[in-house]
Amino acid sequence: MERVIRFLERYLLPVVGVIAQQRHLQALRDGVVSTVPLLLIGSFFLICAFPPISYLAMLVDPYVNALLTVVNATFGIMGLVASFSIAYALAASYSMDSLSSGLLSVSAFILASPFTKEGHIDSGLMGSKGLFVAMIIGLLVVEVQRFMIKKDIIIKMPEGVPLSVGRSFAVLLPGIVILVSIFMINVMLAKIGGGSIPKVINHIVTAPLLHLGGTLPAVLIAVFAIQLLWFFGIHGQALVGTGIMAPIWLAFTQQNAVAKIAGEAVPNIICQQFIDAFILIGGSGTTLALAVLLFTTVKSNQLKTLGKTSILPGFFNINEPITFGMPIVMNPIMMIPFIMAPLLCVITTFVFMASGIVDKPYVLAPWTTPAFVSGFLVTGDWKGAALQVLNFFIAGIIYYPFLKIWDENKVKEEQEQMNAKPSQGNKTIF
Amino acid sequence: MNILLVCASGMSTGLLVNKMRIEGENRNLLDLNIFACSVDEIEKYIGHYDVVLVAPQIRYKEKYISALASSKDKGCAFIDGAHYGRVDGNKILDQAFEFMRN
Repeated sequence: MERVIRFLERYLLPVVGVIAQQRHLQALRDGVVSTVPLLLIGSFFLICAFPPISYLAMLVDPYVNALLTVVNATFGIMGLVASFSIAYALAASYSMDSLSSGLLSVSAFILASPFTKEGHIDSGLMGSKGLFVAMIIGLLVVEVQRFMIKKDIIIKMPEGVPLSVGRSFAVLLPGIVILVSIFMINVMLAKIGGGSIPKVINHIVTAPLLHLGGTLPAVLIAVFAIQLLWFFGIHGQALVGTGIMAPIWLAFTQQNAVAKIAGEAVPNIICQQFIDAFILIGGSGTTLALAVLLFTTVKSNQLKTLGKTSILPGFFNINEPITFGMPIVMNPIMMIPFIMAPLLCVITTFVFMASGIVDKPYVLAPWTTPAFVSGFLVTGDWKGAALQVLNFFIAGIIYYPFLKIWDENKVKEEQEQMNAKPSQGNKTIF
Repeated sequence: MNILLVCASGMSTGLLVNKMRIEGENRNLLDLNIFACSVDEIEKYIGHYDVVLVAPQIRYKEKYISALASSKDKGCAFIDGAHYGRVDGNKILDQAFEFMRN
């Protein structure tokens, strides 16, 4: 074990650190995740518009359209908001004028998205369809700006002009270059078979990425990676879940909400809620069941105490007391159920939703929403809560035998300590 | 004494804040100020605190955090996994005092 830890410190941590600190990845993550509060607010109005209880649904029926305007102004402009926040985050990381970069990026994003025939903004491109367009444009805008500033291709003010005035002029030339290029590219793409920047990006980037990211194997791989990193004591969910998968999972979340508004069938099984509500029951590793088992069944004093400290946070899907206190980190015995339980829950959840027994999620709830409540909230289907109960029991069954082994180890350890203590004073016992 | 606790989202360190406050009261520390934030917000808050304690699960950000802390002349340390798991306010408070600068 010592060797494994040393190996980890020397090789794995630095690699993971470099990935996590990579500027562009971080900007994408921060930018996309900053849309989540808006999606949560939109979700609140989405539930109000489509309450899961039919009597309430009847009551709100006359107000559905009014409620949905808020949903449109939150879910509906996810891409537009991200075009600002991604450029803002990247510019801030370079200590550039982040506000002007963000604004320029919004302008570039709108320019890249062709207007409708009537000359209106195409609202379809402002949501998740525009998300990956926003990601690419947001990064490019800042990089072009930075390149031009570095090469001194900017309008410079003579000395004595206030700094802020100078800065506002510095954005002009890069801004013109960026906007003119985007305009020209769109004109060219339109000439070649009526394309546009969003069409090309959706074809080359978004479609394959979502197609891959929405499959069962992709989720299994992502969850496996999250669990494995946690085994090494690294926050896998922050790194892989939020860090890499969030744009894909949130795009699916957005598509589901939009379909619900339009009165269409909710399309995606895999989405942010799939992970938050059905897999992370109690935290990474589906550990709520383990917390309950620790609270009720163990004999070792240390694990009993752990049960008391971990059960309440567990209901809010926080499980660091278990991962570090049991510990699961670097514990080859507990590693097995810690990886198996969430993977099995992925499969059951996928099967129940694919077969149509449980409705697919369309409402986004905060990840700290307690299990059994969140399943109902996100799907609007009581069977969503039932599926969480099922996953809870599956995880419990998987954890139980391993917990017993670990508990016995701990009891032995504690007995040895008990026996060792009096022996210091009175050696005749032995 | 101002202590900043940092983890991925400020949630699990939030558990620790209460434990450390109770421990501070037991020790009659009157000017103890403890706050938990996510690692993404650290630059916003670090200026107001004397020492930064970092949760073990974000050890992979060690370089970034320790460089930031030393540039602002703040004490910085990583919390031991076992102490963190036990939400051991006592030990972690000791650690905060140990790593405080000035």
